Amino acid sequence: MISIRLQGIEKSYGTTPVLQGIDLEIESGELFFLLGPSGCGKSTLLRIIAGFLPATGGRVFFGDDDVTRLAPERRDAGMVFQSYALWPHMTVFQNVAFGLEIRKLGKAEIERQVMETLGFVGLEKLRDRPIPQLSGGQQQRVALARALVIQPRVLLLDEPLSNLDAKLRLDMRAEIRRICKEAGLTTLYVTHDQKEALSMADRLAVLDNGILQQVGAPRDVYRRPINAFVADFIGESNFVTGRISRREGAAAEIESPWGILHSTTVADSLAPGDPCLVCIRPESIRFAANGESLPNTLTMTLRHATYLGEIGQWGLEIHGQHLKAFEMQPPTRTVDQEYRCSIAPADAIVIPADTTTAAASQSTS
Amino acid sequence: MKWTRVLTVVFIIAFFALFMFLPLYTVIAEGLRWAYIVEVFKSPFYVQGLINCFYIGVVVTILVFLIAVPLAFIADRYDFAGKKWVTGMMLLPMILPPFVGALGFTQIFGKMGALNSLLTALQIVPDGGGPDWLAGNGRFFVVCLVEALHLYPILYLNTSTALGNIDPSLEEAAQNLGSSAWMRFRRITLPLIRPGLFAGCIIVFIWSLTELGTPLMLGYNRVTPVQIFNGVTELGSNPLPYALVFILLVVAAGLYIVSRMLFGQEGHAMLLKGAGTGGSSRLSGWKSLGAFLPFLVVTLIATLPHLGVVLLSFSRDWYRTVLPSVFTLDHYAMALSHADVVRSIRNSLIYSGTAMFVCVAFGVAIALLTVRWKPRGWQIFDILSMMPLAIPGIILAFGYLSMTTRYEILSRIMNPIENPTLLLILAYAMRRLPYVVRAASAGLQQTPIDFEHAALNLGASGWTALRRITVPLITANLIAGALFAFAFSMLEVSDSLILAQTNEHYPITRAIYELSMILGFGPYVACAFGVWAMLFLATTIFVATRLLGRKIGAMFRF
Repeated sequence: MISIRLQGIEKSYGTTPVLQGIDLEIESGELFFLLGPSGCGKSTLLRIIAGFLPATGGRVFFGDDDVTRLAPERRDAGMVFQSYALWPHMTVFQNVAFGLEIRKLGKAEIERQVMETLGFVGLEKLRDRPIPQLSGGQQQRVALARALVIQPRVLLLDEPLSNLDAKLRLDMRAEIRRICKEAGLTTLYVTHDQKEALSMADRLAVLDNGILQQVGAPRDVYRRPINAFVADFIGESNFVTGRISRREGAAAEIESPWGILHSTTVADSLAPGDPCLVCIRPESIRFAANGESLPNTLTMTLRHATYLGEIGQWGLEIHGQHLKAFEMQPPTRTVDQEYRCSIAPADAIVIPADTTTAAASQSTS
Repeated sequence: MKWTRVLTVVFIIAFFALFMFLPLYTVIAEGLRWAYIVEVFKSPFYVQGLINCFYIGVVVTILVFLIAVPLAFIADRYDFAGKKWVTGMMLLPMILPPFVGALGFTQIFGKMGALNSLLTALQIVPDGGGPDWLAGNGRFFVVCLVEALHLYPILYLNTSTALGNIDPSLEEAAQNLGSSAWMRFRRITLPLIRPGLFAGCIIVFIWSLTELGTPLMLGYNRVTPVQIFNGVTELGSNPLPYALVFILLVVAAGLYIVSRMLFGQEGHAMLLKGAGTGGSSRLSGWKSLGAFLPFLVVTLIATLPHLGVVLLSFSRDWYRTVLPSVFTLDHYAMALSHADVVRSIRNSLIYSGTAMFVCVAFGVAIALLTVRWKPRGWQIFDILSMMPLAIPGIILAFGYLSMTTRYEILSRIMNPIENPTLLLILAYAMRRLPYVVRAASAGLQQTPIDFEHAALNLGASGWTALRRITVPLITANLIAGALFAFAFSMLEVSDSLILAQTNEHYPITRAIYELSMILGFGPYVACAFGVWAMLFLATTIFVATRLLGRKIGAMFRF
């Protein structure tokens, strides 16, 4: 097991920067996710790590080994391509055996290892199938087996589930996590699907416009997004601007157009007088029972109601601003009626306002 | 890998420098002499040749335009019964050598030939009193007809590709804005296909202008290419053919450059896209037949000379009758037992087979360079590899000939009079290289780069990835390209006629020409041999098309 370390990776095409000063350490044995919208540079970063693209600046380390200038064929980094890139002129067995043949293993040994790996992904029976006759999910497993069989130093997965249908994608999430963990591999998994990342990752990084926005465990990134981009990209968020009026430890009072809001989840950098942004997840907005008096109780008007079975998706209006709210086991609610709603202080996430503008301007540039 | 790439580039440059630019340079160096050029333009004989071949170019291009463009429109706009079949047949003339077909036309249009016999049978002209179709201007028009019937597929393919590349929604948008059919054609369709049309016409013009085989076989000798051919043997005493070749080169290159300047960018972009479908409406009943018939008629007329050849090859005597009076297989037996014939088949197999391997080696290298490696300035190689299409065969062949006389060192290694093998192989390879490059490039473009990356990722070297992954994946394309190169080399006319000067080194086409010159049974045996050659060509092309699938059209686009 070995770590992946990126030091100041830069990449630009002409004068267009694609990656800007990426520093990142992926610990050995970790299942690490690189998450970002399309065009954010995540696949570029993966290709730099695999060696298919030269970085404009910076270094890539596998453990203590500087692989920045190493040819891709000498990096020992197993990769699963988004398209799978399974060679259509070879069978399942031949695809998987290729890497071992390159490593000049004996015939019997290749046979043994390939079958073992195919067993690992549950495809022993399909060993002699031509690639075009496999389903999407089977192809996915062959691609994984082909990368695993060479016992790579690190495993790189480029949107491996994006070509599968929704149901299969859910099954494969657990399967890939099991395989990576059992093989004890340091894995970098690139995706734009935040649900995939939240459900599978040990840790994840959010990349936008070539800059790492936030790195952390899924729960931390979801609960404590560092800026508006992350808050909006990982899950959904409602925002209200405000100013810190009082601060005590992690708690603070915020003056906002909706009135005074209380929060116990406040970014460390914020001091009284600082402009800020309060970020409220749709599921954090609770409809208050009659006579209940909780902090942050506000009167809102229900404007839209969408019934989705297990949840109700409500469109609420307060002071001309529209909010989204989710409610489990939704009762019948009347449109254009006023409701008293509350937000627990722990769920009112307060982030600095300037990072918002930075992130916002980046995402539009 | 880096050094292999550098070496590959060096080899490619050397190949083009020695076997394309050096011969062209020699033609220019020898031909660009003011005295010679003035001499040419003072001689009514040569001026007439130039005027005649210019007229041939004009008439053939007009004929081709009239045949090809309407058919391309019908095929693009309508679906009708048998469409796949007849549009496939449209390519047939490409593979029927006009050189051989001309033999058939001589019989059909002769004074005692099939046409006059038919007219006699229909009691339109008295027996033996029919006009001599080949007399006077008749011979000129027969030459034009044979060439037009051979070349129309080029323009047909260019036009249908251009039409196929038009997004149907572009015309629908015009329709939506209230534009009439004529307006749509004039304002939308025509401007969009103009580059394709123009490129096709230019190629047809250059080809017909410099065609040697057809006028030679039909005995229409007062055209520049035939004059050049006849002058080859006495270059020592009459250097004027040098100037003639130079003039042809200037015309061809000038036209090519003009077409590139006018439509270069757009025309090239068209190459990369596949022909699309859509926007065609279904015809049925009489309308369907109306769309089908023009294709059938054109194809039948186009195969007429070759039907003539087939009939001639089976006939003991074909004189004053519509069809041969007595049929025989003797000519076929003779064609395959004649010592010259057998030797020419062996020669052609050696020349074309080796040329094919040269083509594949350089074709793959150039395709890799332009599709995969893309070093700085890779576009130059793209243009280089397509240039042989624009250089008429007779000019290149003449260039090869003159470069071996001009440079002593070359005349020692590859003197065409002693042994033209090497020169013929290189000439064939150079002329057919574009087909192989195109086939290989298409294969590479369709093979995702990830396939190679996956191999590298598993530790394969660049060379191993090429050998184990890339080449197997583009094998079908390579075989198809190679077969094209091989088949067309086997029936290459101008190089063979000019470069092969001694009996023992004659390839098939030169042998057919020599046979046809023998009085009496000669033309019949030549026809039988021609039929063998066409069968061979048809089989090869059939296999190639099967391998290439529907990409076949891409091979002939310019």
